[in-house]
Amino acid sequence: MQTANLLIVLLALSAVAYYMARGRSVALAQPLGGIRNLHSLPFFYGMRAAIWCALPSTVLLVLWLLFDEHIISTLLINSLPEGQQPASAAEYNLLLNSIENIASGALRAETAKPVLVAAAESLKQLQQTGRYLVTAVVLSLAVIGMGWGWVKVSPKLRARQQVERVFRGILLACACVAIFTTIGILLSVIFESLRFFQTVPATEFLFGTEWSPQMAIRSDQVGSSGSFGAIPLFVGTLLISFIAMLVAVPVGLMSAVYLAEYASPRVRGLAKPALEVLAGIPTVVYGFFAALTVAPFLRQAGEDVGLEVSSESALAAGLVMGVMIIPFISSLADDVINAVPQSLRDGSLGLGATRSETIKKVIFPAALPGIVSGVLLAVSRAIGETMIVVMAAGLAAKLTANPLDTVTTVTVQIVTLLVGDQEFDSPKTLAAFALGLMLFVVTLALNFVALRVVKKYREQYD
Amino acid sequence: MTNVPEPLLKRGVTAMDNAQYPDQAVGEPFADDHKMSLRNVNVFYGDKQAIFDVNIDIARNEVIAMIGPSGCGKSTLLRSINRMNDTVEGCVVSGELTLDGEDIYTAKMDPVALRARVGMVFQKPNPFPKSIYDNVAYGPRLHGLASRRAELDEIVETSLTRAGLWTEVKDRLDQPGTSLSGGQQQRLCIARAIAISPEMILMDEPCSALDPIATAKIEELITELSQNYTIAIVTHSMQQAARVSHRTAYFHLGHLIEVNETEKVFTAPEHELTEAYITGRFG
Ligand SMILES: Nc1ncnc2c1ncn2[C@@H]1O[C@H](COP(=O)(O)OP(=O)(O)O)[C@@H](O)[C@H]1O
Ligand SMILES: [Mg+2]
Repeated sequence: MQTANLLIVLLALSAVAYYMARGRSVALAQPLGGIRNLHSLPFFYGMRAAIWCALPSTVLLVLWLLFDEHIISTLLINSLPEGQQPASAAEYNLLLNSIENIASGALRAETAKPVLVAAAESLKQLQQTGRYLVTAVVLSLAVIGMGWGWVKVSPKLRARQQVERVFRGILLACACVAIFTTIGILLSVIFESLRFFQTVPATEFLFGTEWSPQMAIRSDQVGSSGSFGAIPLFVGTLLISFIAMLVAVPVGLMSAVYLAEYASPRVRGLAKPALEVLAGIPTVVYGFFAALTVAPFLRQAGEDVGLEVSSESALAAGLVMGVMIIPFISSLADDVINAVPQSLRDGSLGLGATRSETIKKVIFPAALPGIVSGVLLAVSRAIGETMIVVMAAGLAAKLTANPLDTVTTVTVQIVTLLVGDQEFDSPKTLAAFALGLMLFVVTLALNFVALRVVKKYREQYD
Repeated sequence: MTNVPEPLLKRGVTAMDNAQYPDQAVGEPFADDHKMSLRNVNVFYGDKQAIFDVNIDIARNEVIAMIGPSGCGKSTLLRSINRMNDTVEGCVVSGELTLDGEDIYTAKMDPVALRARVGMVFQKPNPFPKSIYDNVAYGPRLHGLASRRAELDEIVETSLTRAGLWTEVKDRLDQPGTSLSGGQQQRLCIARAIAISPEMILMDEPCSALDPIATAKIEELITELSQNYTIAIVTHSMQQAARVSHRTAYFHLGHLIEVNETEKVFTAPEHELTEAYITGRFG
């Protein structure tokens, strides 16, 4: 049976199991004087049977799907005659590939070696048998589980606890998916970075001031020695993030104060959704806004006052990134300002403070930790932001603090290192992992500090 | 006493609906030498009226207790006296409220200045998340009451001393006000209020979040403060009203029912609603 069909059948079986066990528990309860004499509600008896029916069989099915290819190919290769056994792993894969191709008809059987044709036949056979076997085993497991669930129903059975334990396990498994994925990504990035640092010393990467990752593809090429000093990238990233925060922090905070303390409910009702729309604009749209509108405008304005503005400038990218971050800061700050208890406002107003004095002297200091952590989170977003800088900041890795000049960032370089057809183990592509690791470490640290601050702040008012 | 069970209140209200609200409060609502005087005061929250036609005087240097079942408008009236209700969306106050003969709801009266003259202590202690010193110095700094640090130090010390807190905190003035116990926090709030030398202090159930010992300290403090200040205190505890106040006003569903010498209210109430309340028949 096809896997999808099998799953549907399993689902149907567990539904049957649910209703049968549930019905049985109700029936058993009748003579005792109603379901209140059952240990658990009938629902739990039903769920317990459904779980017994579905869980073991599904687990088995998943295991089979994970390992079936391996099992079948091992069986197949072992069944080949003595002289045809592959000598190396590469040969093994080649052999397997051709057998599979013959079996699927991609390779004409007439032109192939008869041994392989025979092997292809037996491959089809094996796959066929495997499918039958697994269908039979899975279905019988399901039926056994269903029967077990039904038989065990008794008024004393602690069905609720068992069902809840299983659900807790499922929740745990889901939580683990997220955690293990993170760990997996982190490990692979670290591993690749280590490979990079074998060719390029970490000190050169961290403290070098020249970035030109072009490597000679042939040894007789000139001018492409490849140097991996990441300082210009860090400086570029910081410059753009700094400009962005210069825009976003004051505007975001003041709009938050206005919304939280002064705006009438009507204005608030209009302004909050508007800010949320701003937050929902895809960054690529901000990107071409920066590249096609803001950058030319700045260039023109610069020309008018006699300044040289490069057509891809840190200023353009930073300004637009700042606009992108405004709603992020203002909504976070709005939340923390609203979390300051009304009683503090009353206390201050009751002492004859004006609204603005209250905001300045009581609300702002009380909300400060939350605001700081919001700003830190925003910084980590600015550092990791890619699309705007790819489109508006440029590629030239110049070491400069001039916002009118073109700079490049860590994220831009990661993108450019990985597009194009380089081998995946050349230092050029591996450099992307090292850069990624740096980004990861920095943003992780920022987020960690920010969350710690938020947590401390929460405790203060709970 | 603080939390009136809903059904009890309902029963009380229906039973009492037969009783007539007096047109005017019975007893002695007026005083010759009044600090604060309210005439025909009505308060609305949007369409809902919370206070009906209240007339009462608060005499100079007296402690007046306001009692009555939950939701009868005690807090509302108190917050009208220093215009804290201005900060509540949709709240409208009508009638004439005068402080020393000066109408407090005219355009000329700055609510901020008024609140500096009529201080307020709230139900839940609400020290600012600042040091003890800065909590007390908050108001004086705001209004420029001290030009030198030494003067400010002195204001802080006297206020804390008056609030009976000085000996307990004098060695840790730089610690956060929130690190004090509930009762100490409330006394800190009182010190904070008297640091700007108000003429009148409003207290809205100042002890309802405190234990009996802390409550006793606050009551003692109120009695002492009454020598210099005019105090209006809302309370849910009739014993407390009896212990600290000179006169007691009884409110019922937004109406002022009776105002009399405290002793008289608790021994020989004039109005049947007052009697029903103090004998515990409802609320
Ligand atoms: N901010 C508000 N908005 C609308 N109604 C309110 C508000 N505050 C109080 N009320 C209503 O006014 C009435 C009096 O409330 P309150 O003055 O708090 O009573 P008390 O302090 O005597 O318990 C109650 O019915 C209450 O529901
Ligand atoms: Mg109240």
